[in-house]
Amino acid sequence: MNEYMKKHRKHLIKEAVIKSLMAGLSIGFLVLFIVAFVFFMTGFSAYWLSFVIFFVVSAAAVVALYFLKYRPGEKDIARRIDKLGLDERIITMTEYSDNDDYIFTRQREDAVGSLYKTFSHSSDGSKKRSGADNLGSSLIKIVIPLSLIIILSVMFLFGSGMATVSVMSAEGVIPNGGKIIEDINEERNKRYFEVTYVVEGGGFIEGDEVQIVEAGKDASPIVAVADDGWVFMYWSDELEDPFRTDVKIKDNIVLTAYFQEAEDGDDGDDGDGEGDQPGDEPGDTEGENQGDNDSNNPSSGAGGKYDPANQVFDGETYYGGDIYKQYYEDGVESVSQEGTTDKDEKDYIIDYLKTIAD
Amino acid sequence: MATEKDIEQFSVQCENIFTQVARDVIGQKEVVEGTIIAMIAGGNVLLEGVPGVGKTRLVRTLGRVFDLPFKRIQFTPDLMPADVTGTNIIVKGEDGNSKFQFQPGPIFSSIILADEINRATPKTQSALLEAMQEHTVTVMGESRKLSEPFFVLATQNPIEQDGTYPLPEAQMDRFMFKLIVPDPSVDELMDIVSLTQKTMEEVADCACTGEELLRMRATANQIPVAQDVLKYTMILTSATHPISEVSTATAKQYIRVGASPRAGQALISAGKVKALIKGRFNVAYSDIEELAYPVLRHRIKLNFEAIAEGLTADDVIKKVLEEVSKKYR
Repeated sequence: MNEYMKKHRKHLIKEAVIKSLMAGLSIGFLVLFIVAFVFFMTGFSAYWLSFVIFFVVSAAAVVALYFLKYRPGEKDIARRIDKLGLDERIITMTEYSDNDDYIFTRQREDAVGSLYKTFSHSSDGSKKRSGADNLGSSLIKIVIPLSLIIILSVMFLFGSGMATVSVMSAEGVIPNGGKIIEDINEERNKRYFEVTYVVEGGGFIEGDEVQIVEAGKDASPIVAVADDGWVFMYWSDELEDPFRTDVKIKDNIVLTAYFQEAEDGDDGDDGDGEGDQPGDEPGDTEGENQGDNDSNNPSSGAGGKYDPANQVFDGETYYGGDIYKQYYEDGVESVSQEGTTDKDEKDYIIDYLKTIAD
Repeated sequence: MATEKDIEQFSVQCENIFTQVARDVIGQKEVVEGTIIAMIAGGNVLLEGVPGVGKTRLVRTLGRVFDLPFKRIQFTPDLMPADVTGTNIIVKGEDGNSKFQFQPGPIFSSIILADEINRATPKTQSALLEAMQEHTVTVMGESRKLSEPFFVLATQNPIEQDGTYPLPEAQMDRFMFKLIVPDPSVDELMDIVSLTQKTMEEVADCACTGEELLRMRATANQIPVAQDVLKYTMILTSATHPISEVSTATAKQYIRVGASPRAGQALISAGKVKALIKGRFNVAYSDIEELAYPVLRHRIKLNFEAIAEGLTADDVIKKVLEEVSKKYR
């Protein structure tokens, strides 16, 4: 190899090493990203292994890239020198170096002469020393392609970022990828149904008329309440209880509450019936229409079939004695339990409850 | 093998040729240089320009400077092939019997000025095909070799399209260069008028004989071409095709038919001469790129889109060069 080629070779080897390092590290960071990602997804806790793999792959890639791609050959050096404005003289000289015909000899002389001429001037045009010594002050600059810098930067961000995530996952700071995906899938696989309550006739739904319910879960309770002069009949699924809580929803459902206008003497107004008076017994003939005592018309104006627990304490409606007895007995039992209340107070409360029950 | 003397002679003769041509032809440096390069490289030249810009004068001057037999053929619509190639005529022999004798046409010369070539019919234009490529003429089944060197220097007028016949692709491809002769600048016009006021006589002297020209060609042919440059040239040629492995986006968009392999040959042959004229002993990318315009402009056929956008062949070549240069240099 010629003297001037050797001088520039060192310079270009530096460039090749830098390029190999950058490209090799890019590959290393890419592998680090992949390995760290796999570790993160699988929950593999030995994250140090990903760093070992990174170093091994990077080193191997740097060496391979240098020898297979970036190591400057004679022609590469010639091409680079030619780019200084030597009009392909050096590459031609290199190719025909073993031809000693006159024209090739002249070509070499011309190339070397141009080379000295080029290197005897600095890039700003000022004249420098000419001659072989000056060839060392190379005009060839180390050129790193912008694309390589961008690739390395991106790979560094991806690789180091993923490695950090993997380490945090392995240390339990954040859940691993598998768990996150599992949660996401679980959420994604949840199904929701719409439960709609509608009315037909004079009444309304007390509660959420339209409910979005997760599959298998229960809807919130609602009650079908009749307007004045109307009585609840039944639901579209033939349930006769105006109170309902639909459970274990498995489909979109629409339920209709049917109301019927109350007939004369059964206006359903708060369950009042003609002749209903407090103190009347349910068996009294005058109280036939009290509440929901009509066996053919189980609903009452209170919004449903007669039931002691389904009535409003309005001071007018007869609620039946049994329930007051039950309240009394519950009260007595509650008061009689061990507590801080002294005996006189307990007796007083029991007496009061008795007056209500009576 | 070229010797030191050959190289020296090439340099001296080139200088003489340019000096002598400049005595009769004012300005038109690129056209003069292109024509001389083509003649040294052994190619034919098509000169295109409006009337009066000196096309014919340049060719006549070159005929004088190269000291070669020179014939002018004025192409007209009624010109027949036999008027170009020659024909067999009946003559009486010494024995009194009639026999055919070949009467050579004007093509049997070294420098042919095919003036206003596009005014002749395609049939007559085609009479030049064999002569331009093989340097032979076949009449009545008999081929006759033309003397060397042989050149066709044709002129055509880009306007006045009525009554003209555009040259077919095969004919175009046989011209190494198509040179556009521009209008002279004001300074050049002043020089032209000053010169012609004194005398219309052409004063250029002989600077080179036919043999010397052939030696110059042989010398130039030995100029080495690096593989990189050769490959670049072939890529450039191939890149003008809308369908090829190295096709450029410009070619795909604007070119209907790309350049033939003759373009690649012409680029290398002319590149060697150009390099040597510049005093360089190898062909450079810059030589190829400068020659790309005269070599390719008549070999590519633009499509409707290019015409609709008002692009010329030179515009398209420039775009192709930019793409190829960016990708392959």
